[in-house]
Amino acid sequence: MAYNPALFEQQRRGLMDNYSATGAMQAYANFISNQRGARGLQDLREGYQKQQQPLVASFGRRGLQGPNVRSGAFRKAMADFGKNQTRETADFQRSLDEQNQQFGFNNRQREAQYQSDLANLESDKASQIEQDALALMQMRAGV
Amino acid sequence: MAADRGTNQQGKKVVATSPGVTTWPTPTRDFQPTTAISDYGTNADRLSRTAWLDSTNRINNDPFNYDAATPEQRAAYNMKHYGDESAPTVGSVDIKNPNAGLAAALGAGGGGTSASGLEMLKYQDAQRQAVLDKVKEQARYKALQDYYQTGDWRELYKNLGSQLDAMQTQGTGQIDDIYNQSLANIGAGYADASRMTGQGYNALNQYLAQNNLNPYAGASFTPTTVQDGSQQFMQAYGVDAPEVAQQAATENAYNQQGAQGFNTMYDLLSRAAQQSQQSRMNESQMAQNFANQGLSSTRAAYEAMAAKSRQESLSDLLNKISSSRFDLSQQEGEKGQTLQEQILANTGNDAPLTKQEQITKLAAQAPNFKAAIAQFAPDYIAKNPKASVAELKKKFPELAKAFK
Repeated sequence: MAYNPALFEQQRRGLMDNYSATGAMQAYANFISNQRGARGLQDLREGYQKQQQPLVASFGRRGLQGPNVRSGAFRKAMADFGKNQTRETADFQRSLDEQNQQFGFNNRQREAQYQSDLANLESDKASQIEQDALALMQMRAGV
Repeated sequence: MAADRGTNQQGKKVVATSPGVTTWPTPTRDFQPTTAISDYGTNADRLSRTAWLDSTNRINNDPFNYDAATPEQRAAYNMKHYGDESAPTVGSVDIKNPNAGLAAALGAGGGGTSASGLEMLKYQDAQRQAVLDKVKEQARYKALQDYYQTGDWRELYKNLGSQLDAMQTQGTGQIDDIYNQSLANIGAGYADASRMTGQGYNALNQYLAQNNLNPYAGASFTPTTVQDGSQQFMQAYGVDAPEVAQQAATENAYNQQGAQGFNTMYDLLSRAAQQSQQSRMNESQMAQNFANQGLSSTRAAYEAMAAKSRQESLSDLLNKISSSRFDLSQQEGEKGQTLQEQILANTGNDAPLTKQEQITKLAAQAPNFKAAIAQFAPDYIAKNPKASVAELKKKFPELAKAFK
């Protein structure tokens, strides 16, 4: 194949188009996912807040909690409640963090692949020029 | 009896038959063959007489009719002109009357016959032709010898040899021109290819240097810190629950471990990207070096091919020239051999002409007697430049006879 710059430029444009399109699509997906995650985290917090008063009231009705009353059962229930809230909130947050991190990682992978493809393209071009130069030399030598 | 303008030889009156002409005799009677024969003899007799008179007049400038003469008159005539009472003869021909045979052949009386007359003519012609042939052979032999000895015949071979020299010089020059042109083309092709290859790989190196991007460089994962979200709620009811804070700390520790794994992976990928970039740079350098080495090797191979082709062409040319020289030398030797053989085969043709052959030759070739005597006896003519024709004829009677 004789060296044709147009072919390499066509390949370069194809890589750039694909890189841009997939980047935009992933950015939008990440945005949607973050939005959905933030809403879920908010719902989780609100749910725990709503459970606080019923929890205290249930121990008050049984006389396990009240002015000057601090039962072990109430304390343990409160501690468990706090631990559950902390763990579930952490799990939810971690899920969001990992999702964002996966998005960033994918972006870097796409960037690496894109740069690698461009470098390969340049390498192929140089190699093609080398082969064509050799062919031209053969023609000049009449071989 | 001599005839005058008014009478014929018989003394008869002649009358002119044309107006204004009165000197012709008037015919007194019709022509009668019988009477004519009795008066003048036969036609053969007249031919014989005419032949004698004409021949002796031509030979000796002294007309003589042998038929009408007595033996004494014949002997006297022969002594006078031939120094012998009998007329000399050449071969079977009587020289006193070489035309006798011819006269007889034509029907005249006398001693000759028609056959001997023709034979005489043939003999004379053959003699003359033989002499001329001998002269030709002499000339041919001399020309052949001159041609061989002067070496003119070698000129053709010298010219052909010179042409072979020119062909060799020209052919060698053309082969060298082709070789030099091939070297120039190879050199120009190498220069172009080397420049193009350099440009291609320089562009690659430049691109790699300018686009030394590492997507993983600086990448790190910092997890969100987990807070104790129920602390206010606990304090409001006077509950002291360190387990909740402990849970948050545990979650944060867990997140940190996960983030550390991510960051380790990023660091690994970053270093891999750097190595990949370096690998590309090295690859480009190696490829460029390899391409240059390949071009140099290819150029050397092409130059070797051109040199080999030149050597083969020169060898082929020299072989052909040598072969042609050998053939030419062989042909020259054969030509010399042929000429030598021809000279040997014609040896003897250079024998000098006899006196009689010289006379015959001069009679055939010289325009007149004086020219002939100048060639026949140049020394005598030099000593006697004022000799008269008569004196010369007397001095050289045989040559004189040939011109009668």
